[in-house]
Amino acid sequence: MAETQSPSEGQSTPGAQSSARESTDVTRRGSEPLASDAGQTTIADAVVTKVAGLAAREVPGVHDLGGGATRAIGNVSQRVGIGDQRTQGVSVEVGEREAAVDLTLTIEYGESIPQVADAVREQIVKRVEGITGLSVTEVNIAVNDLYFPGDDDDDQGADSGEPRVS
Amino acid sequence: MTTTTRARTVANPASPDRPVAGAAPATTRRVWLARAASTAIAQTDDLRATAGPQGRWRTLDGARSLDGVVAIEGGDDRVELALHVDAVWPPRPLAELADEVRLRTIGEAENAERDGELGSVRVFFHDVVDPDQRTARR
Repeated sequence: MAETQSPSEGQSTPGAQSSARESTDVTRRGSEPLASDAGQTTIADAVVTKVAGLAAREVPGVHDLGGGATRAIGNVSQRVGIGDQRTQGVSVEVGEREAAVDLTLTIEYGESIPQVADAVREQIVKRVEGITGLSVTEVNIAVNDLYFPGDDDDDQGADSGEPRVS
Repeated sequence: MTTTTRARTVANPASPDRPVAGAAPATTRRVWLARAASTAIAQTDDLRATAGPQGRWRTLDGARSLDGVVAIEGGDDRVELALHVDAVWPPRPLAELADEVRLRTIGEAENAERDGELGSVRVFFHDVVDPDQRTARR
């Protein structure tokens, strides 16, 4: 399922800030500077991604982020220390003043998917706008799995060795 | 330019004027201002300095490494500072955090009457970390 809030506008390049000194590696790899009276502040795309992922996880009914394959790969990469579970299933496009967020969710069985999706969207907008100052133009949500409370116990049950009949 | 004198003693125990074991006896103004910035980061709640991949964002201060601070002599006879930090979740607005650490850095320089040597102070946010990572990765 994918829902679109509004069309994205004004995706600008990081090079919008003109001075040569501002063209650092950080800026080139996808960070966006924010204007300030006292100096310049630059927020990396990874920060926006992390904020969106953490915000989504705050919403009751969200079991996990990412699809089954993404989670499996994420679990492996996290175990070897090269991945971060909090950003799996989240991608962002960040402009000079705006951001668009795409995310994939697993929702707990029994929850209303539209209500959880709306709550996630609201929480992401609140957190990203409040923390980064960027305006969120879109939050596209794909729900691609349901979590059943017994899912984690399946293997244990199968391996318990207890007789199924007396 | 190198200076070996200190303008005045600052009461703050975390001040960059405090003698540091392993620091070079003569301190360039670049390193002095990097220390000021490092102190300012350490004093700001919800911020954590990051040296980045391969420790590229740091300033060497004798045997000590001032992680997250890059200080460069600018063309206008001032030192430009770049502060590389992570925010601790849940962070305050990042612009507010940036202003706070920037003003602390400027304040440290003013206390030592060295604010005339300080150029721009740029703040780069690279990541958001959980509170339990605050000490683990510092």
